[in-house]
Amino acid sequence: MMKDLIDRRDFIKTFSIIAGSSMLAGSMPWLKTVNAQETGKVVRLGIIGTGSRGMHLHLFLKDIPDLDICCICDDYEPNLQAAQAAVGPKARAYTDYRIMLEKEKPDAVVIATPLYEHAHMTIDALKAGIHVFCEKSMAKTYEDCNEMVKTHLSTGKILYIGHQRLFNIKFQQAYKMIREGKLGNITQIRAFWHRNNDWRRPVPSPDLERKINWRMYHEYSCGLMTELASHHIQVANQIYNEHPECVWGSGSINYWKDGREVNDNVNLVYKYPCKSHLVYDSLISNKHYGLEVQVQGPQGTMELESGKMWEEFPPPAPGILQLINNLEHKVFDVIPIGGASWVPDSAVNDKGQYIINKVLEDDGTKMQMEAFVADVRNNRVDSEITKQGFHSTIATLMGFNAIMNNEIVYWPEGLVM
Amino acid sequence: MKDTIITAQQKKREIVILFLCFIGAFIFNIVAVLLYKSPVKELLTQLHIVVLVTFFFYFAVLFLRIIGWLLLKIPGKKNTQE
Repeated sequence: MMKDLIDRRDFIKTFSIIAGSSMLAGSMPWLKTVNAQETGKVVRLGIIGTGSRGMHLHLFLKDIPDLDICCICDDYEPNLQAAQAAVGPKARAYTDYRIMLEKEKPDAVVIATPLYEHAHMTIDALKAGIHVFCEKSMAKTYEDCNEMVKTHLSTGKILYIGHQRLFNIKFQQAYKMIREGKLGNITQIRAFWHRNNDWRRPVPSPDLERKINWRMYHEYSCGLMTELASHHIQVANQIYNEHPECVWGSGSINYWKDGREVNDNVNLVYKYPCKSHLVYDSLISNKHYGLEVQVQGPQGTMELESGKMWEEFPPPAPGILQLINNLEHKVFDVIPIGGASWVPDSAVNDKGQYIINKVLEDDGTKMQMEAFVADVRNNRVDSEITKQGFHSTIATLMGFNAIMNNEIVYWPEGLVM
Repeated sequence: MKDTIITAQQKKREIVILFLCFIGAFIFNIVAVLLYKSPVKELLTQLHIVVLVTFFFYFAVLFLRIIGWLLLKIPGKKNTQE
């Protein structure tokens, strides 16, 4: 099936149709931001953390009209210098984010620092009256996540967490179809993220190892869970429209035995109140299967990353084709001596259909950044989108704790939302 | 090389055979719709397949006609040689 590249007008139109659906309007109010009118007020924005992710987000931010990237901050000089060259001399550079917040007082900040720094930076910015876009995952502990949300609620400032699939049109169309019952009740979700690399970055000197390769160490990171799994956990939460009640799992280092602390493979089962599960695994020693979210119901199956859907009982081929096929088999097939008494349940050989018949340039990141800036411009605070990030991170940390402590972990009590 | 002349009568014959093959293919489609309880609209929506089946029938009949012509021609040649 030929797919056309989707242009921005098409994108907005399709999003409007999805957002207009009464099925989604209540549970996904942030979709309305996609259509928000620009008021022309210039938004002043700072970027805290100008490493690879921060500069990736900059690629989308720089094209947003009426947005002034007035300041940048990073405590690693090479990153800061590279960012200054990319952003331009107009943006003032800082190595201490507190000084930046105090001197510049931007309308909003994008925080793209290592996980262990998300909480205090976000809380400080919100308390300073500054809206925040914080990269996923939210933070490293339940308590930090809770504090971030409490501060968001008490200050009334915007808090986005970087889950771009919330703005990925393919995923949103899939949710609409799922809510319309195209797959029936969802009885299982399987998700995985497989890579084949050591996840290391080059280190100019040994004393920078923990700073640059922070993902390898438990002091700063929860490894595959917070860096990869959180995306698909957010997707599963959105499909089931609730958070998991418990999780169990296992992980280990079975390949990259290079002194890292975090596991190079994780395997988990999340149980949801609807009695369905998310079965999740991630490893970085084989990339054959890549990444996928497989949504299964009695009426059909969806694979959200590849964007395809299969009906469980597709309509039969036209009669004439069936007749030709059967005659062909009668003429050319080998006559069996005896029939099989058991036929294996082999995978269905059906090409399926695309969820959205367009080629997407944007995985949701561009739309998410535009929506964030539009919300800042219009001072539109949406706690539902904060909740998506919050619940995803809590579930992610539950999985991490289940692996580390080798026990079933239940949804923690005392959370603010 | 000699010129090949296709007479109007030969052309008419081939067109009639092709038309009969189309009728046969259409009946084939009707049988399929009845056999597999398919929607009646397939009599129209699957016309492109009917056309393909028509040409299959035509070339199958052509093959049989060539075989028949060869079988008739060989005894004729033997008689001439004798």
